[in-house]
Amino acid sequence: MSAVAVTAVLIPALPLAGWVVLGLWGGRWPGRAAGWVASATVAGSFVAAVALFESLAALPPDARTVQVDLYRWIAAGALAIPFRLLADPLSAAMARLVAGVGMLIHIYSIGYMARDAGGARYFAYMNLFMASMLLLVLAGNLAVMFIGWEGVGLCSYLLIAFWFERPAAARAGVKAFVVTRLGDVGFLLGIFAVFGTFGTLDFTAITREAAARLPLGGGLATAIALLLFLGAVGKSAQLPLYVWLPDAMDGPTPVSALIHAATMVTAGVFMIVRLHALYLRAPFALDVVAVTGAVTAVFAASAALVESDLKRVLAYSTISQLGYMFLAVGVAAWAAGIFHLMTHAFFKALLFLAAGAVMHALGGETDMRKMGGLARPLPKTAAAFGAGVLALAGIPPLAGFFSKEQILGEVFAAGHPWLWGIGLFTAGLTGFYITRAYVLTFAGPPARVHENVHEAPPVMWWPLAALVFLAVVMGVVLEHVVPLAPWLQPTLGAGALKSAGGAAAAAAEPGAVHAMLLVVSVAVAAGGIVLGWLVYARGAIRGQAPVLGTILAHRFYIEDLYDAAIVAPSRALAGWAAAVDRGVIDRAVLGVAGGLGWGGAALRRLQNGYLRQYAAFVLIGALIILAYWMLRP
Amino acid sequence: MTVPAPYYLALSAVLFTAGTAGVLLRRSALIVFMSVELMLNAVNLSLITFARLHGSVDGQVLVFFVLVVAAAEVVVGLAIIVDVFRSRETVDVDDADALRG
Amino acid sequence: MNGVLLSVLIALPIAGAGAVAFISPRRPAAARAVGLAAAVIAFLVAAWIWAAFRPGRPGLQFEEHAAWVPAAGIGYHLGVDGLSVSLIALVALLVPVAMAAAADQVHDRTKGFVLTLLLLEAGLLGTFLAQDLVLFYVFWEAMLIPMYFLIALWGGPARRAAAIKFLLYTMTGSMLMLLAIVAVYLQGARVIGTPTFDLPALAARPLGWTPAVEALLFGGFAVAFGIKMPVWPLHTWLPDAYAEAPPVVTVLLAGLMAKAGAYGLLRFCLPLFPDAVRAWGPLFAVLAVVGILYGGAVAWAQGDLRRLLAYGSLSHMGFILLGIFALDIQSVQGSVLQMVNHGISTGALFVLAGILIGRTGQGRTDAYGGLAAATPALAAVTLIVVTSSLALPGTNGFVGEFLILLGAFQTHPVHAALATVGVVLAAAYLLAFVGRIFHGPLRPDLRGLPDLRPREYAVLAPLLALIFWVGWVPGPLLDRSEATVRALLKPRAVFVAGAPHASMTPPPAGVERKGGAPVKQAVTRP
Repeated sequence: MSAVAVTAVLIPALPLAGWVVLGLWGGRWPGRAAGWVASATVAGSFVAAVALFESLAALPPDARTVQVDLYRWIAAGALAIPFRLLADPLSAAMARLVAGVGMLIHIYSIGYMARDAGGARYFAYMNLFMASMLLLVLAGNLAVMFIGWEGVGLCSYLLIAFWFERPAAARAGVKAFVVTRLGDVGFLLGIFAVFGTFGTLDFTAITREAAARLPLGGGLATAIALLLFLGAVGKSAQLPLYVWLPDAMDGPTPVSALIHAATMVTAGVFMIVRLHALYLRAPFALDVVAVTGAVTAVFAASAALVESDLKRVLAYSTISQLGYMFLAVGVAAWAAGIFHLMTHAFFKALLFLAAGAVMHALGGETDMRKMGGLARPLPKTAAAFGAGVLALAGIPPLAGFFSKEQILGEVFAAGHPWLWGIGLFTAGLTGFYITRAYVLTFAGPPARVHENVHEAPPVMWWPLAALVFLAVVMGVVLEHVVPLAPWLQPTLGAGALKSAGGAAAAAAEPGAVHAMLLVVSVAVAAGGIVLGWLVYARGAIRGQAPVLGTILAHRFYIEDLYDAAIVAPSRALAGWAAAVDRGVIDRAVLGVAGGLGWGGAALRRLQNGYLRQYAAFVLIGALIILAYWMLRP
Repeated sequence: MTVPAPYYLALSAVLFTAGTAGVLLRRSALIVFMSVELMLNAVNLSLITFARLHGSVDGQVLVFFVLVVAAAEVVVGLAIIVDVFRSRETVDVDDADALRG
Repeated sequence: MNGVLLSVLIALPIAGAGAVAFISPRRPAAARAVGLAAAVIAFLVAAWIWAAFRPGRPGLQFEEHAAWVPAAGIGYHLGVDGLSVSLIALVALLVPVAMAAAADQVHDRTKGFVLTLLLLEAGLLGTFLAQDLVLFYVFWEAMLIPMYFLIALWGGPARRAAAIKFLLYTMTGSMLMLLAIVAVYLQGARVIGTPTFDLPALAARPLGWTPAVEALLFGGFAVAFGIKMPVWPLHTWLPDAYAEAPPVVTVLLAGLMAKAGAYGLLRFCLPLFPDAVRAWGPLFAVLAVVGILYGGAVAWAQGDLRRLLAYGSLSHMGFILLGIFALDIQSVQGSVLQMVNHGISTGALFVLAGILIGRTGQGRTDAYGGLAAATPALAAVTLIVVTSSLALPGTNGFVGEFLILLGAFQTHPVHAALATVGVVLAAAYLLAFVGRIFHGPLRPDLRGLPDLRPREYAVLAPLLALIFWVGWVPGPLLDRSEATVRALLKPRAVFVAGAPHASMTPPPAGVERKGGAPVKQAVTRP
């Protein structure tokens, strides 16, 4: 096997081995051993991912797609699914990102979970998650991707419900799993349709033959694309299947950082980019993706405005930022979508881990109304969170600025001024809500006296610092130093060229227009921040909007609608079906039995036990037979 | 002179009817039992008659079977009747209705 | 040796039962040991047959054919092919597993229990091996009797009613099947010339039915098999029987007997009534989808542990039925595989239910709560089995359901789409099951409940190993059934009496593989 193949296999295999070892023996290890072992396996994955990246980079660009077949997995009739990994620029970049962020969060978790008795179980789940996510990223066909896809969903369930003795956490875990599975119905059907159309589930074959097999804009292409997108909607928490993500915040905070911000929830975006050739055949489906993304972005940002739970603010922010990514891929700006996926992974992980440091300091408190003034006892955490705020809001030169500008530029260039407007408005909302979160948590007077408020220990602080660094510089790096778009070009073909960063956007637009867009969007983002600061820190603007506030606080009543329109009727239907089973079907069967029993009871009167009557019956019977024989014609 | 076959058959029918009537009308198990024997012998008579009529021994062979079965039946039947009498002190068939459905 | 191997396999449990009969009832441990030894030896024989079975051949292997009642054309004809080879291995595996699990759960009249269990195993094995209609019918009924006693003598409080319901239900189906068997025999005698009950001989050529008659006879078989599976709406014996039987017996009831129904559809209905199957297949596909959704929904609403699993099993059997009647190579292959998978995972689920009920004596889910804190290993094992039942990839359940749905989608897209919704229902009721029992605050009365014991680990270990093995390397199982399924779906090609290997068509290219071992391919660079 070549170096590429070995590293590609090692990347998911190392955490998988970690899961097996921790699952079987981890519980008996002392102290933090489980955490260090888990982190070591993920670090090994990260090293392997870097090696994979470098060995691909050493190849000429058009040789950078390497398929690694391990064995024949499922074969039946014409269906032959090898266990195939695909190492190409896209998967290498994603694997490096996932393993890198995963490694940092694993190390952080050692400190965060130090006081929890279930540490080995936690790290076993985390390792299984890493293995699944890396397999998802490196998969060479849809079936192998589905292993990872469901594996991360399972781990998400397990980790949300990690503190299973809390009913809310257990419920949130089930909700996350069931809601994402609802999307998976679409994903599965999409896979079946792909097989029916292509006769294979292989990504390279799909990319190669999409143009030949799917007529542009045809119903089949649109149906496949929308079915697969349904899976992405569930996994990436877009409207209308976003409802599980805010509840998922009941899990440990590093889990929220890793799974529900940086990696798993971006799987939907990754999947669409992976199948970009297929989506290019279905312009209508792309429009649906873009509109879903834009609407979700503005909706979730507005929901974040009134949320009082720090982690839930970040959860809505994640939903909103994922909306941006779908907006990008919806206008076929694949590279921009992946770019934002990466920068978002850095700054959102940073925000979550900083929030985790706050919770760590306050003994698990997440309600921002009980915080305030924490910048004084927690200056380092406040600074880290502040860096995340600026990166998320898109203030230059931090990471979020570059990727968000690229998306907005692409959307505008693609001729969707309305979607651009929504994106711009959302940028303003983003600046506002995240500033509000910062101010309520760190600024102003302490709302309540917390005892023993302390900075995080070094094992938590250093990953945080690394993420601060990444959130600050990675935008510049991926845009100018090691540009992402040209790297992805062998995978994305013309699609990557189209979105070759700001340069291409600038080439597509007259320079003045582009510069104006940039200024406008930075101004809007900064305006949001300033407004948030004025309202919450200075109290400069006081106003009440009770109706709007109520609507926002209830997230436009979507969750109530779910309960009323889907959950309650489903439960009622299930109860009704159970009643029918007992009351109708079983009763029908018992009715047949009862009828036979009644007939038997009637006939048994003849069996009165009198011998002579029996003999008379014999005689009568004999006479009847005799009569029949004598009288028949 | 030989008696013509119809006479034998008529006698057989009379005996059979008498036996049937005995089975149906009498209440004493012993009488019922003897009536059954009467019916069997009525059948035997007609079997022999037909055997003679057709010049075949089949009927006579069959009669031996019937006799054997009847003998066996007497053994078992009387044993049952004795047993019933011991436990119930009566041989009235209408009292032995334990098998009423 | 190979010539009588199948007879040996059937005889082993009977011999074991005979040996157990001579053990004093006061020595239950000895009865258990002898019974287990017989079952394990039978398993080793079955495993050897499975390993020695040569994939890529559609016909019967290890065939035994002797006259039994030559005048009536009844033969003692045994054989194993791709449909049955994995199922007999499953039977031979689950019976010792159930017997070992029973050591902790059944304490009364142990001798009789072990003996009955062994007789049941013989009946099951014979059912899957018989190639003669009368022989099949004899075994089919023979497995019913031990099962009746297992429910009626060792069951829960309402065991009598449940056992009678089960018996009457199945007997009704059996009667119809017997009528159909006789009709097939008579027609076969007319068309072939010699009267015979031999299945390969009868299936070798069209018997010239009118469509109405064929449909009627197909119906006779299908009702019998449909009751056994069970197919909605013939299922109402199932919740009672599953809930009243001792859990270890339910392992066999759900894990093995239900498979006999699905197996019968493939073994008898498809070759004997190909046209009727194609004409009436859509109806069964609809029933399958109804069963999937209905079973899932009803399971969700159950408050009783075993009833929840029972309706869940109904839902899962719906997938198998859909796969069979989608009549697509992938879907039928998926169904054949899923029969084994369902046996493994549902069997394991009921073993776990038995462990829970054995610990607490409680059957209702609301008597539990937060057990993951008290019994972490039990929770972990349950979770693994549940993921298999949920058909998550990486477990056996995924491969089967994926193939079924993928194949069904090609021929019946709407059915497949609705069935896929059943996957969500499975998540709902199975996670509700896990949640109610293991999550939430630990109930005070459950504190100190013992975790899995070494013997229970030993019982569950083979099932867990199979869950992952089939999930990651399904090739050996799929390879074994592929040629047979392919031949089955091709109208009238393969079953030639007396010449099992001489199929009229050569096996398709690519099927002949050595041993079914995973093929390591070199790294390719496009």
